[in-house]
Amino acid sequence: MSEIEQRDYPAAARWLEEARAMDCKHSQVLLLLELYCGAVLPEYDMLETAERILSRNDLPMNYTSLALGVKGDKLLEQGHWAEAEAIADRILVLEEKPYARLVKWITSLRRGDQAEAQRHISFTEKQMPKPLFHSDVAGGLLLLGRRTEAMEELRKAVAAGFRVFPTKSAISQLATSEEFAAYCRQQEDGACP
Amino acid sequence: MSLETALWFLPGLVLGLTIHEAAHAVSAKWLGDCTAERMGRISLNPFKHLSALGTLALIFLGFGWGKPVLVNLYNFRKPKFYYLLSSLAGPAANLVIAAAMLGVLHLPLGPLWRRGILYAGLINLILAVVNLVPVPPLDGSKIWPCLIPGMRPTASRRWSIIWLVLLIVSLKTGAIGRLLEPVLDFGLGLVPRAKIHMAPPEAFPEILLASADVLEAYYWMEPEDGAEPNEFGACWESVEPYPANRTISTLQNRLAQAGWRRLEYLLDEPNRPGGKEWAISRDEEGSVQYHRWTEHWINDLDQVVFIELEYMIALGEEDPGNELEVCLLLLEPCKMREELDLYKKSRPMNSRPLKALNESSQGG
Repeated sequence: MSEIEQRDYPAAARWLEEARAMDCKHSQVLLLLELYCGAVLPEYDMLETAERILSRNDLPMNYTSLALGVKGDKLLEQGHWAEAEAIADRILVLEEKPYARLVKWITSLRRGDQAEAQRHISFTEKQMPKPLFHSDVAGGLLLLGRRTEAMEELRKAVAAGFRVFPTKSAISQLATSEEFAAYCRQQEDGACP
Repeated sequence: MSLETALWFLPGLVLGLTIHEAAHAVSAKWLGDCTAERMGRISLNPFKHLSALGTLALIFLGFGWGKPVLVNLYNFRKPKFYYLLSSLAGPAANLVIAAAMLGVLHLPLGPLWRRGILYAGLINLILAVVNLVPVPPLDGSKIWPCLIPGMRPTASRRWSIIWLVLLIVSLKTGAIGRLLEPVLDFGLGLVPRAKIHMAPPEAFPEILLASADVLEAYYWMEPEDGAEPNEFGACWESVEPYPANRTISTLQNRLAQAGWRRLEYLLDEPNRPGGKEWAISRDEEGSVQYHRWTEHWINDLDQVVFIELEYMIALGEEDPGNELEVCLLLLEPCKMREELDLYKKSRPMNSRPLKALNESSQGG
């Protein structure tokens, strides 16, 4: 996992394959590693790994919760709003998870339910570190097609210390784009990735 | 609690913790979650279930717990209800063990077996009840959020350190003890054929020696009349005419004369008969009574399971007698009753305890 912490995903992937070949005892840990690698490396599919986790009934709760979060995210990207919201509801019945609140915030905004959206985002803001909060909000706004607002949130995230790292996510692609760099230059403080 | 007593509790405790945790795992599997099974928790191997921290707490704090069984609530079709069931499975298993142990006491067993089984039954009863206390890491903390509508079943996982401190404080202040006392009384009440009998002191040694399994014995002393208590804060001085030494020496003399050698052991206890714990109460007529608790465990009489002594010194205008009442809770009251019948034939029925004895025998 140290490779993941250092964001050395290729090294993590190599370690993962070696561990698989050795038929390691705690093979369920590899699923988590695979999930993280799936965020960056093209040879790993996050959704497929999440589905594999969700198909099992012998993994700890945090695995299922994380896999549900990934699935909810993917469903939002695909525009399956209701299904994504159902997953968030399923999580929130059992646990307080910021990513589930974010999904609820996005789906509430899309429905035009501002009060409900505000309720969820307030919870999230309290639970997440500022850089991550702003980047996730930016991701949500991007999904809703509110690109300028997304860039503003992303700018706040960067100003708060968010380290842009190239992943498969749309927000990562926006953060490393020339468009975002230009937006930042237009702003007074000039905070740029 | 003496080391010997603790050792008597140990087998029942290990058995209870093991089956308790295994019951959580088995029930979770039945309800659709195999996480605990994959982690090897469906096992009767105690080492799979004993927690290092819980065992240390048991040694140093007087209470402990097993390694928590991990449950994935997402695998339950009805998460709240099934979590409630799997959380209740542990205490339920302890209750089943306790009931089984108390049931086994019906069988003709030797005194050592009887004692071991009794202790195993009692510790499992304690485990069942203590685990229902709504404080993490105990099962009660998982149960109550499942019962409150709108509350997440995982709600109590927050602030776990604060909960733990609260648990330790409630143990140290005796709050848990007060909770357990009625439970133990209830458990002892379930011991087969156990009945409370009253007898005057002279009968006690004969009864004790004749009885195969004395479970508990209570005594209380009533001093001579004429002594008036002064005030609450001066209770020691108030009872000075009837100091504990005198009370116990009376008991000593009476029982020693009857040949019960163990009493010397009781009197040699360095902390007795000082009596630090005094309580005061008033009866219906307003007479003040002072109570002093002492407790002794007698381990080396083969036929004795344990004896607990309670002295109550009552000062009241309505109490003219200076009598010693002895109350015995016996596992084999039949033998006792024979002895009592013999005793009654040889003694006049002129004292209040003896009347009580008579009524008790007739009633039982």
